[in-house]
Amino acid sequence: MQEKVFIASVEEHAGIIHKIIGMYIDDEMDKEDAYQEVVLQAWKSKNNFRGDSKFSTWLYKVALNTVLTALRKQKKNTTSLTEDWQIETHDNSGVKDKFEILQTAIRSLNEADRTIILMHLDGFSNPEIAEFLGITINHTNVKIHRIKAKITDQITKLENYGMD
Amino acid sequence: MEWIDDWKNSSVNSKAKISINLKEILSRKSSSPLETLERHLKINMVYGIVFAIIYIGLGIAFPHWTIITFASVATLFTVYTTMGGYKLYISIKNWNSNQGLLPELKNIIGTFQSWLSITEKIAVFVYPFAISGGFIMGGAFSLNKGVDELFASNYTIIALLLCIVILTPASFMLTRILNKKAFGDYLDRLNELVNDIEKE
Repeated sequence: MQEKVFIASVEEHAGIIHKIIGMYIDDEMDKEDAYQEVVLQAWKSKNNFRGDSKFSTWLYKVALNTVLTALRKQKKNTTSLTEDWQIETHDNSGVKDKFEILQTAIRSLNEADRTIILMHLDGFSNPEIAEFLGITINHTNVKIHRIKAKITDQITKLENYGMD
Repeated sequence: MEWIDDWKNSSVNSKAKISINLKEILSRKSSSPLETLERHLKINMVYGIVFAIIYIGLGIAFPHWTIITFASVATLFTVYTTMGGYKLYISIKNWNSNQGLLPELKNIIGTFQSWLSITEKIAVFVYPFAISGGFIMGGAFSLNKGVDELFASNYTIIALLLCIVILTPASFMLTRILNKKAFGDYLDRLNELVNDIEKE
């Protein structure tokens, strides 16, 4: 892949990188560092992209892999939402609130569960998630089922008792 | 589940499209622990080669049997650990990141533990010889005596033994503390991640 094509492709899908980083990192400096690290790792492994999947799918996996393996500092069980993220909804502010609650619920999960549910919500099939994680499909199915139950439970708590 | 639709109806994006300065990104040092380890191993290998040459040079410059013994042992262990570091370096270079996150995490943990084990071996085996070599040469130079003359006194032998007994465990502990400080948290976090992925 040529440099210009790579840059244009990453710029086009920068939102993917930011979305993933935003689900794992709070600190602004760490976010910027992680963003550059993802682009660096994507550049270094660009020859692994053979075009059998979409560039966005490949970049999504690179970003997740980098964030999970390269992070040395991690704040546990983040429950606050960062302010520099624009939440775009197709509906009214009620949906925005619901989305904030959902984001908070997801961010309260451990890193592994967060990865699984993010991929699930973003349309990856269970076999794809299993392949990415290096676990069996059955294991993935069980985990997704339990994570969904956890999130539903967390959302109920947040709706009943508020986000503070 | 209603919240799944909430996710699908929403998308999170950064405020502005971010342009990439690839030159700047490529010029930065990667914060990836594996690449950091790769850099450290490269530096270690260079030091290993330099020290091996110095030890051999000392053995040639001071052809006393004690110096030759210490220099030989130190050289052998330095070569051994440098070779171990080289194998590790090659395994990181040939890393296959397409094998799935869990095997990859296990590989990273295994690689780190191998490297930490190598550095701790250096502390246990090489330091007593390095301490003895340094002690003898330092003593001989500062007192302007020959090696045989230096060890004519029992106090010198006791002082040497004390140095070995105190400095070897101290250096071993220091190595462990520094390794733990440098990589302990990172390895703990990865282990936690592995456990979370494996847990049903």
